[in-house]
Formats: sequence, C-alpha cells, structure tokens
Amino acid sequence: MKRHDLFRRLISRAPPDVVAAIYERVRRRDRVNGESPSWQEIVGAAQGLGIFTTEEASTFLHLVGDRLGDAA
Amino acid sequence: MPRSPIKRPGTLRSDPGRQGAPRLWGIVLAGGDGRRVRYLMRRLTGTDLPKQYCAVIGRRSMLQHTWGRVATVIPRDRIVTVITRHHLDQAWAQLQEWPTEQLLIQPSNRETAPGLLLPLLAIRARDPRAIVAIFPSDHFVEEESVFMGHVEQAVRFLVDHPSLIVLLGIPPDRPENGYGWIVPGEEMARRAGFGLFRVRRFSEKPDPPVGEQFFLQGGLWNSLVLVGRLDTFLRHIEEVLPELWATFQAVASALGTVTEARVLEEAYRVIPAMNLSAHLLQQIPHHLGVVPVKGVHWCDWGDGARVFETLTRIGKAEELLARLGNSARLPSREAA
Repeated sequence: MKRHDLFRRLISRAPPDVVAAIYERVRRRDRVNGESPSWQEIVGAAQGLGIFTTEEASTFLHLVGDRLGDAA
Repeated sequence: MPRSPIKRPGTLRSDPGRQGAPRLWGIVLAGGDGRRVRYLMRRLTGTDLPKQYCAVIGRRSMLQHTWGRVATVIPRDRIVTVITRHHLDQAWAQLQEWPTEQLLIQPSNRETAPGLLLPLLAIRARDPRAIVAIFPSDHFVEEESVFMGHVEQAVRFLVDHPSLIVLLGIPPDRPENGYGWIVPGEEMARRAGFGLFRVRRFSEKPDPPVGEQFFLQGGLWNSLVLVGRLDTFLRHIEEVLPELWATFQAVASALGTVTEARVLEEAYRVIPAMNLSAHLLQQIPHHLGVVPVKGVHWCDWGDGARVFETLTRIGKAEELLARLGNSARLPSREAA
C-alpha cells in the first residue's frame, strides 16, 4: 500500500475533528502549543472509525515516522 | 540569453530605506487539478498528480521551482501556499524544507477566485497592511531572476499607484486562443526601463476565439502574476463577488482555529467554481495596470503541446520523449 493512497483515504474519510488534527500535524503547530493530537492518536481514531485496518494503521505510522521522525 | 534592464533581484527585503513600509507577501496558487495535461503527467510519473507536483525538468516539481523563484524576493515565512486537500500528502512531502505553517488547505478545488480569497484572509489576520504578489504554480519561467525583477518593479509602481492591481503581461509570439489577453492602454509611469500601462481590454480566454485580434492590437498574455495591496484585492472581491465574500466571512474567523476544517468544508460545499481572471479581473479593467515582461521565456503549461514546445526550445524534448517511451510523438496543439 502506497503512502499517498493511505493518506488520501484518511483525509477523505475522516470526520472534521480528525481532519483538523491532521492539518495541525502537517503544519506542526503542535511544536508551539503541544496540544495537537499525535499521529498515533490520529491513526488510532482512524482505526476506530474503520478507515484503517490494524495493518494499514501500522504501515501508515511507519511511513509517516520514516519521513518526518515525528510519528509519536 | 535575452537582454533585460534588470541587473539584480532581491533588493526589496534588504532595502534599509523601506523600514515601516508595507511588507510584501507571496501567495502561491497550487490548488488546481491539472486535468488538461493529466494524460502527459500520468505517462511521465505513473500517477494522477496535477502538473504542479510533477518534476518534468530536473528533479524539482513545478511547485518547488515556483517556491524557489518566489523566495528570491520574498522571505519564506511570508510565502503562503494554497493547495487542495486531496493533494495534501504530495504538498507535504514537497514542503519538507519549507515552513508548513503557511500551508492553506482547501477541501476541494473551486478554481482561483476562492483560492485567492482564502490566503488573502489568512494574511489579513497577520498583516492587514500587506502588499501581496500572486503566483500560479504551473508556469514555466526560464529566466527566473529577470522575471522576479519584474515582480519587484511592479511592487515599486504601487508606491505612486496604490489602488492598482498590477499584472505582468507576456509579449506574445503568436495569436494564442488558449491564454487570457491584456490590451495595454496609455503609459502611466516608467522607471528603470520598465513601463506601467493602463489596461484597455482584459479578456480571459476569449470566446469566440479572437486571439488574432488581440495579437494585432498589441495585446499581452495574462501571466496571472499580479501584485497589489491586500485591502485593494479584498475591496474588489467584496464588490464584484459579494456572495463569495459573504460565505467567506465565517472562514475568516475560523482560520487557524480548531474549527477551520469544518467551516471550510461548509463554505466550499456551497460556493461555485470561480475563476480569478474571468470573474474578477475581467470585471475591473480600469483598476488594473500591466507591466510588460522583457527578456523572459514564459509558458503556461496548460496543454501538452505547450509543454513540448517549451522543452523543444530549451533542448529537453528528446529527453522527455525518451522518458515517455519510443511510441511517443510530439502532440499537435489540437490533439493536446
């Protein structure tokens, strides 16, 4: 599974609060206020909503973490 | 190398005499879907990415080339980029070396008028006295420093003509029907070899196609690179596109808050697609000025024939054909 396929699925199916959290992470505002959900929390929510399987969630976190080193 | 009156770009941000002057912000429009050249980009990259995310020449995408070009004149922390949500992953990957705080994310592509209003409102919240320069992200510019020198000069013209929106106009080499046209009127100002002209006619992709008429009238192609005061842009949008303006009032208060994604979603659900050139600029020609661009090869890669035309000009067409495979042939303009 390619990263952009997973990302696109996440961003298109997630509810607004999860999308907002993704925006926060992408813009890295969490560096400033420390309140934005982590990628693990975002992906956990996506898993809970049935957007990702366990394997896909793990793959996504791995891909995001590999790229930015800030998956946690 | 074409000759140009510009010797050195990048003086605006370092000019010590400009302390207290309005600050220049850059807006990069990257929300398009690139439908017209999708077939070519798919063959080049194996994906359905819009052309601004594709590296056609070298290793940098057109968007990265645009950021690099804009950053020669405007500090990175004042460059705002507008993308569409389903391209967020590509934008994010390509923004690795750039401040992502300036990324604005539309839920869907509604063309360039909403795509401009969104960053204008975001900049207003931080710097209401700003001057803004707007850059499409899917244009090829060969002599980048010369081109950006024209942007700097357009900004300087605003000192004496603060209520104008100033466009860069490209001298045409053919009566192209696929471009917007600007017919210049009288000269309003001249400095350092650059002229600022009134706009006599502005027509975005004229229908019926009358490119030949504009060509013979001394018309210029619309580059959609334009500069003006933030409040000037906002005032015209409010007057000419009142429904878009009204819808975006909720967006303005939500930007940068946790409600941003939801409010944008609601706004973009109800607004129609609106083109900046056709729906705004074409309605206000008397408020426009144009600076003809000299010494720059520019091309809007809006169709495959233009892409090949540019690559042929710079000696890269064979390289591209090799990437496309042996069956590829130069497309005709009609086929593109």
